[in-house]
Amino acid sequence: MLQIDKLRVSVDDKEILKGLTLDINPGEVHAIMGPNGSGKSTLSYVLAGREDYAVTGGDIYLDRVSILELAPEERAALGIFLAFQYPVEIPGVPTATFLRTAMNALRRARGQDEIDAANFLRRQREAAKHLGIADDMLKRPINVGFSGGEKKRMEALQMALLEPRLVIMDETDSGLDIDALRIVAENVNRLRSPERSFLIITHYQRLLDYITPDQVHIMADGRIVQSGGADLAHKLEAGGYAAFGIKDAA
Amino acid sequence: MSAMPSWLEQWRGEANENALRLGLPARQEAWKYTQIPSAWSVDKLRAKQGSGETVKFTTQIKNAVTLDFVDGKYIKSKLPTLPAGAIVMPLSEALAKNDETVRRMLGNSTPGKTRSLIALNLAEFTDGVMIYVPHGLKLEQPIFMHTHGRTDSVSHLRVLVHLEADAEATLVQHHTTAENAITNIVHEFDIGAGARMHHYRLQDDAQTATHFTFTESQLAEDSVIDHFSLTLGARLSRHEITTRLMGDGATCYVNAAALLGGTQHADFTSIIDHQCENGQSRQTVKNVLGGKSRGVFQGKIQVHPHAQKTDGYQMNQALLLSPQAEIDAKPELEIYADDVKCSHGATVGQLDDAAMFYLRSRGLPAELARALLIEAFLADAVNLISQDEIRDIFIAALQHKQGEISDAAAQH
Repeated sequence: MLQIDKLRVSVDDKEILKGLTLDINPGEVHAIMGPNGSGKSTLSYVLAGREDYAVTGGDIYLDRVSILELAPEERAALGIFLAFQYPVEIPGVPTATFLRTAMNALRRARGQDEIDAANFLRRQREAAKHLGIADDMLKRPINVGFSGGEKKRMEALQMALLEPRLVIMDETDSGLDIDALRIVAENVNRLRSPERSFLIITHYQRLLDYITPDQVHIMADGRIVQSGGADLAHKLEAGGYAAFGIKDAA
Repeated sequence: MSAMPSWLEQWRGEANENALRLGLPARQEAWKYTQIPSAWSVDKLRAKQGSGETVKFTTQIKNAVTLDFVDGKYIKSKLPTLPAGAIVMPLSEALAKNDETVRRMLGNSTPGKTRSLIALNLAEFTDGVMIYVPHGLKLEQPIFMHTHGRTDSVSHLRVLVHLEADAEATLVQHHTTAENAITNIVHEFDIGAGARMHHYRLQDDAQTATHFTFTESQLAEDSVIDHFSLTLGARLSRHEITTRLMGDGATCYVNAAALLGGTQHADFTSIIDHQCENGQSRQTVKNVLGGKSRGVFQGKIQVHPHAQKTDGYQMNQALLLSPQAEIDAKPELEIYADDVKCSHGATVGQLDDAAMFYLRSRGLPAELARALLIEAFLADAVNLISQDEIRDIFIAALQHKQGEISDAAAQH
């Protein structure tokens, strides 16, 4: 489904990704682990289409078609969803209004009918219940005044409602207490399906205690340096990045 | 105007001389950022009928007392039965009846002494609205004044509002014009003790039009006035608003928002005059400026020596959508009392890239994301309109204007 081919990316003339290659098949869960500064967040932003990143080499394919030229909203319409490490606060826009606007924008782009208010509310309520999100939170402006855990649960809610095919989770576990971590992980496990793939980007192994990945990749200095099964995460946890000859800035 | 009382005839004559003597504002500190074309004169701005289609007013407010004006002339109204003692009528009708309130309020000649456009308005007004609400009456029905200026018209309208103690009323204005129309509206609000006045105006003139507005309000003790102006139209517009807190414990809201594009220029100049103790003023002014548009905010807060315990707040924020857009802001605090709380702030910014990316990554096309952020920026001003039906009219006009600005941006 997703193929990243020898991707090279620079920010302000500094090369961050240095020929990164990765294949993810439909239904697979991949984890990328790496120390701070290895380029993990850059990878997630580039996949979602953020400007200010210069792709200097390689390509990204979704279903064998390059997405490099596509705007973020076009990638979203194809089913790419990025769960942000730092979800953005947007004062003045009620969360529920935003969710419905996003759902309908995606439905229009995917050639589906818009969802009406009653159906939207029903689906929103269902998804919110699983995540322990109160109605009151949905009336508040997007992420404004939310705790770290609340913001991550809100990302999980969007993930559930927007029906992506490829979910990229950027350090979702950072700043989460153990209860919130469990809720977010359960959400992923509930959404796992043969058509939906996940790329979980993380510094630590603890999220992978709840979500069992099909493959684990270790990233350092803008490249994947080692790949393996779920047990690779445990080895990393036991020996640290140093055991793999990687310097961890953290 | 037919059936003009003789006292008015005399005042108009005096006002006309005054306007001619003063000439149009030019090279004055108060008009530092806003220029009236130098070729214009007092005579060019005399009341004039326009040409073109008679317009159909489509905006409605349910249960409202509605008065429609075209080129400054009263056309028709929907006047549901009002509670006993309340008066809402075209000014021409009130003058024909030689109404005492009208005479008293028009007789307040101070504002026109130094300002030619107010003097000219007195000399030239062809109609307007007169509102009187007796003691203790809360007028449930909003009063909706709809004005339209046809092509090349010059309209002068006068709005007089007097609320007796503990009364309450809501005035909503929707102004539209065709090409090159000029509008000059003067409001006077006399708000009695404990009374509450809500005043919401939507200026949605043609992009080639000119619009001057003057608002003079005086507040007795414990009264509240709530002004909100939304400026979307006109090439050149200026709203000059003076609010005098003349009784202890009075409160005023002097809020405004503008969404401009092209070469539009909109000036919001306010004076809040705290003359008594325990007064409160709240001011939120927001400008969203695209194209080569220019916004001006001059906000003066005066606190007199005996106006102790005054609580003043002023916030001015601008969002610049293009590198050629410009905001000129001049806040002024003149405080002569020693026990007061006055704060003001100003920000100028651009659309937040991180917020844009966040929304787009959720599937919102760039234009929709932009519109949502602009609406959000203006929301805390527009949301000050408490009645849903009225707020929706303003939001709909805003959204329409956003569409126009986006189309214009897309063509470049």
